[in-house]
Amino acid sequence: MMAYLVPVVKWVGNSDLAIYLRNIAWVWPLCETIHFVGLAMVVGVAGFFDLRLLGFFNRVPISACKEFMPWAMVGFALNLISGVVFLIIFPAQYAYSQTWWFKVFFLCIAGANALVFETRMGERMLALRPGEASPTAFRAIGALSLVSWFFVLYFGRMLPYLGAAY
Amino acid sequence: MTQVLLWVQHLPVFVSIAEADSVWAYPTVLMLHTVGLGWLVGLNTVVNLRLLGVGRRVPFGSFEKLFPMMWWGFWLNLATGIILFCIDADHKGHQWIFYVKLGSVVLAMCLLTAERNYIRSDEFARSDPAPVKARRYAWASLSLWWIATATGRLMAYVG
Repeated sequence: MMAYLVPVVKWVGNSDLAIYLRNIAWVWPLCETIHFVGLAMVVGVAGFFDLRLLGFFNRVPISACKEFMPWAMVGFALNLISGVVFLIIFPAQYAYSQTWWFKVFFLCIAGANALVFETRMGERMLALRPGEASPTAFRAIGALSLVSWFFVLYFGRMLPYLGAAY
Repeated sequence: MTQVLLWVQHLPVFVSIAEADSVWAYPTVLMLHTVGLGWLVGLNTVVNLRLLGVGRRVPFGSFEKLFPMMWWGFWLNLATGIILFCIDADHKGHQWIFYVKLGSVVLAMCLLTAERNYIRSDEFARSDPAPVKARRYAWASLSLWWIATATGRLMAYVG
């Protein structure tokens, strides 16, 4: 898979945009800052919703807790944009890093997990009465979400130490 | 001050963490500092969003359980933060941006306590759905966390 990526990595890394962004000293620190602000929004807002799915504050309707989720998406959008900038500036240090692919893998798990809840569990969510115990399926979704976001953060923050990125 | 910072940095426990060639040493401490940041700042953001009018069907009483969880994040980051500071004390102790970060974290934590007391107060219970005071708390808290996060991250690049 790595050999397959070489031409893409070279093309991105040598592109005018990559050279342009690489030469502006403040772009990288700015994107790092945005990435951490976004991280807190995703972890906190999605984490709050996951706690509800796990059975915390179960007098509050799940649909009410879900009203915060667009703000997790805002955080995610901030991180997607800043993350793409990192990728454009130094594609090789991510594309050839196993650690980064682990991060992408857990991002996919978190995304698929959210999609399952969104598409399969809407009716069950609305049918739940206040104070009723959270169904096992909801608890599983909440737990998997917390675990997968932890590993997204883990492999992201460990990129410089489990491999060669910075 | 330099001598004190150097003395701290040269304590055997911090030298061993700094020099350990293991992902379980410095990298793990740094990673846990990020976990604590996400948890503390993120959960406080939920309360701030609620004060700004998001998710109006969520009663403020349900946040009672969130505040102790935010404090777990704080204690984790205090512990990991002390280690991160001490292994590089002579450098970090001379970074002006570190003191901006420290000040904004202290203010944000004071505000967290004030916010909690305000939410519990009779004044808040009797007020409109989104009183001006609540919005001020929320924006002040959000701003302080943005400053703390930005200056913390920029310690690697500035000052």
